[in-house]
Amino acid sequence: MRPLTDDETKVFFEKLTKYIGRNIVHLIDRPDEPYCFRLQKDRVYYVSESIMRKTTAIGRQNLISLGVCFGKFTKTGKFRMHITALPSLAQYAKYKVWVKPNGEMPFLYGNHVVKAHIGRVTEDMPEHQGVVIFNMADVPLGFGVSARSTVDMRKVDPTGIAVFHQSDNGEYLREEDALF
Amino acid sequence: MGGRNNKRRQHMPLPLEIEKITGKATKAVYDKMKHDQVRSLKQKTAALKQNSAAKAASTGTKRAAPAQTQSPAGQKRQKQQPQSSGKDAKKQKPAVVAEADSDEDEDASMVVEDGPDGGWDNAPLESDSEVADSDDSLDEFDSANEEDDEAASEDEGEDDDDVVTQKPLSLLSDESDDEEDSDASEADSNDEGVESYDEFSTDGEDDGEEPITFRNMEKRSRKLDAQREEDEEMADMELKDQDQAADGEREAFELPSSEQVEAEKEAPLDLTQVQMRIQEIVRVLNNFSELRRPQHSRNDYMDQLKRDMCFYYGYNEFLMDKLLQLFTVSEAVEFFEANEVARPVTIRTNTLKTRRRDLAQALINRGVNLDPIGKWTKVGLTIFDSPVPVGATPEYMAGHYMIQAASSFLPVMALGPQENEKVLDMSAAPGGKTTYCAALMKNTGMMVANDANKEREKALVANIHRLGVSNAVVCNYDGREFPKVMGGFDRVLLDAPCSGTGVISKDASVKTNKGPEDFGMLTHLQKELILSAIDSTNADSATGGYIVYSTCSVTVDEDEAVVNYALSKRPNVKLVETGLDFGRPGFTRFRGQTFHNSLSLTRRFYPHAHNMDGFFVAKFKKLSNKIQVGDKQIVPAGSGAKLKQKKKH
Amino acid sequence: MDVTGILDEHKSRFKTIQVDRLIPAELDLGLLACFDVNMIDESKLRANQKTRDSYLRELSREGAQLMVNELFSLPTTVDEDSVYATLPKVRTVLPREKPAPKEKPMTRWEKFAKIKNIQNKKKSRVVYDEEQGEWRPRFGFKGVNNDDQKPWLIEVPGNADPYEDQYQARREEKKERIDKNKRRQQRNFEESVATEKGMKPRDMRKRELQQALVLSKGSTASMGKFDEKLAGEPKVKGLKRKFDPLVKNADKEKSNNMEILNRVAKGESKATVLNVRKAQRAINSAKRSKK
Repeated sequence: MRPLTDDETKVFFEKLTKYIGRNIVHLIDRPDEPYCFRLQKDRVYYVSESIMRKTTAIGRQNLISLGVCFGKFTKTGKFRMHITALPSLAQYAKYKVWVKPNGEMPFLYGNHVVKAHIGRVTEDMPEHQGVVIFNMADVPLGFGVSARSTVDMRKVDPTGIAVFHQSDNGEYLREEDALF
Repeated sequence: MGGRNNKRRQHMPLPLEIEKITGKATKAVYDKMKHDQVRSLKQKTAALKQNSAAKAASTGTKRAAPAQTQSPAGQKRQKQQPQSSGKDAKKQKPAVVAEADSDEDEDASMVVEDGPDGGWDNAPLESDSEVADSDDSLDEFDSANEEDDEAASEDEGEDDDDVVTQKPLSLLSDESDDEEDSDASEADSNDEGVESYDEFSTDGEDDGEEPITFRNMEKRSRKLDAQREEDEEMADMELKDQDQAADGEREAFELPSSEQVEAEKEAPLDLTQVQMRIQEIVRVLNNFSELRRPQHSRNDYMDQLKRDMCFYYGYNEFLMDKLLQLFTVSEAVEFFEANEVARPVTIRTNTLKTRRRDLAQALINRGVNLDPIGKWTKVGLTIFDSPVPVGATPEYMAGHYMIQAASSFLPVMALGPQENEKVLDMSAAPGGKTTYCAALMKNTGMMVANDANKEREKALVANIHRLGVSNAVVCNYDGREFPKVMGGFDRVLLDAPCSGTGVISKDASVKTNKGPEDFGMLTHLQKELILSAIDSTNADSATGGYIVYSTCSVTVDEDEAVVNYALSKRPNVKLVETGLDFGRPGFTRFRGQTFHNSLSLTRRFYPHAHNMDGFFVAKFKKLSNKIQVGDKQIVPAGSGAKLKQKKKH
Repeated sequence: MDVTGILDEHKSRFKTIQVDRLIPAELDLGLLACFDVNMIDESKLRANQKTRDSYLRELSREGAQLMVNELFSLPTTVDEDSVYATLPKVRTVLPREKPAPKEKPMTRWEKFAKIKNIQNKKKSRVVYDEEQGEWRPRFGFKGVNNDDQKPWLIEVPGNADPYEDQYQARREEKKERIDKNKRRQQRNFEESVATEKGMKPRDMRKRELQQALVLSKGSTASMGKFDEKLAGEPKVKGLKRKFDPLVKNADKEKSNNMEILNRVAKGESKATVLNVRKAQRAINSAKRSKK
């Protein structure tokens, strides 16, 4: 476990801003308790300062996880968000897409969101921006990248892809081995 | 299959007990007669079963006796009725009936109040139509028994255990959960009310014409319940009469000779024969002085019983010995039977993300048939059947619930972690208990989840993240290293690795692959683990200082013996109430061993008695971080005490 | 005829060849150089540019005049169409361009000879070849030790194998002598290099061996990961990465994160954040190559 270096922090924040923009501030500067980002085995964990301090007693080989895992750094130095970051992303998401009940399962099986399945969309969503996907009951299902801006989406035919799939809750079942 | 049916079965008499066997028949004739009688009996019981099944369906849930009850084995099991439990039931009858009634009253009112809410109410509504359907057929049957009703009404509670478990708990009202405690006290005063209610329910022939309303429906279902009880009562009495008559005439049971035993080893009997012999031996053992053959000792019978049960249920002799020591013979048979049946799937609501009411609503919308587990937990639900896999619903993926055995709620409830505490779960995978702890702590404080197996930790981490637990730290140590790695915990949960004799229904391989050496190794490990768990706890903690030891095994070696060892090695801990108001108290003496008196504070749970996996829970309170040994005070390392000395051993 | 007028006119046209100096200027005619050590009139130097230039021009003209005056006093030789003056030898000592060569470290033999006080006796280059009756070089072209001058008959030594080719033995013996000498030369060279670097020759040799070992070990496809370790194999120390301490001031960390976030939000390019590891690597490798 170690703090992120400056360039790691930068890469990480660049990725995170795609989904929640300036709201990262709320993650860094919390009113209740100081929280921090820590790197352990290439994974970035978001954990409260006090827990992190107590965790220093656990050896590097033996520490499997702490707090919430946001994602991992690939071998090429890029940052990859994991589904485990979804609660935080959903809380602060800039752009949201709500899918209808019939679109829930296709998305949870790892498919892109097609236009026909979309129930609601945030206004003025630009193209190629990180979006969090909810079902109609406001339960976050996953996240992805918008394929069209809100305006262009009206012109697309119903089977056209509206949001590219990146990660969904189904990964807890499908990719348990790869995730952790 | 639902827990309800399991229970009902145990109160039915065994087929053999109602057979008439004339004295001087040869073996062949004997067998043939048995066969015939069994067949005729099957028809009879099947008819009876259909009726009761129809009624069961009408009592507010849609679960009829499924296919399993129609298999011969199932039927036989169903007929089984241990005498002891019958007596118990009689004694408890009035209170139980009253309790059930008063609860249902409340439920009825709740349902009416919350009526327009939607989906959750659908279950009673749907079943309503079934009530109407089944009514006609039942009426005929009832009228035949009409005369006996008055006489039978006193004994009516015979099967009231069932009524208690079947009573629909209200999901919609949290109030009812809170009020449960007061029910028992109300119950005593309600005795008259019950009787009058019985009368009311038996006389109304014209119910079927009434329009069905919520209030009315409740009554009707209650009436049907009562009718069903009567039926069973009647059947029981009938059978008992036969039985008693049979006892006199029946040929006394002969143990097979040693040659026969040898021969059986070469060519085993078929299962039904073995099963019959088991029942015979059980009958003899239960009434030993009268039914025994003078040339055979009790041990001879026991040996034959063991051999037969090993063969019939497929256990190895060592484990059979262990388990037979725990129970009376007839209870042991119940235990083994219960192990052959899978426990119902249960789930735990993740209170970090949702409420039980909302979850139930969502699952019902997906067509899942569920009920609360029992009144002892506010977060558990039993799944009876589901058109979709329960482990792959969107709610599951979103972390709204966890599939978790009912028994594994217990240690966490006993531990009772509080907010802002530092809690350790020593063998955490796959995370059911850990996430429950974190939910109780509302994601505050610190939850350390340890497991020795790295592969299992993946599931643990996945579950922790899926359920949105953010205060957890997962590590991979041997639990025995623990006070050295980290100490000073407010509470420690040790769900020790065990032989799994309580979860044979889940993993039948236990039956054969556990020998004496496994038990030796496991108990040794458990003893080491419990000491490290105790040493990791901080007695000076303002809120805690508790350790909970639990196993999913029912053997005394792994449960009471280990707890007793901990008490002797660590005089600075004592046993306290687990806070679980059911379950049987632990043994204080067992086959010549005497344990500490306070071991009666521990709790045992059995599959046949509580319809959950076999389980053991003990709760310790650590009194001081120092151990008094002679004149010296020793402070084991890692307990959070400032003074550090060598660990005592 | 009065030519004073003409002479005066001529004089006024040319400057005088007389130069007066308080301290006479030093001349080194071998280098055609004149060194004037008199004081310079500073007021003229600091005056306006015209005055300064004319003053400096005057000074150099006078120096050159002095030298030319002197050149005409030199002995001359006359050719067909010109007169040549012979310059005297250079008197001024010039500094060396390169440092003076260091003394070569002594070879092993030289050291030994010095201890034993063995003087180097000069041998003559040629020896008298009695068979041919002539003087021949001791070695080299047509030297007496060459094979082409082998004796036509060699007596087999008493203890030798009678079937051994004595000519072959002779050739091998010579080859061995040459090889041995080469080895010694190489050793002397290596030792001299080590002493020049201020190291003990043994340490130098050891270090080079280890470097070679590390190189060869890391030259497999797996970068030596699966190779067997030798006894006493040096542990290769890679770059030591430096990170912030795990537990640090939360406020400081927060402000640091905010700063980075601000930069990210502004959309600054990647170059704005210093890649500390990369920089460190560069510095380290620079240091290493210097060594």
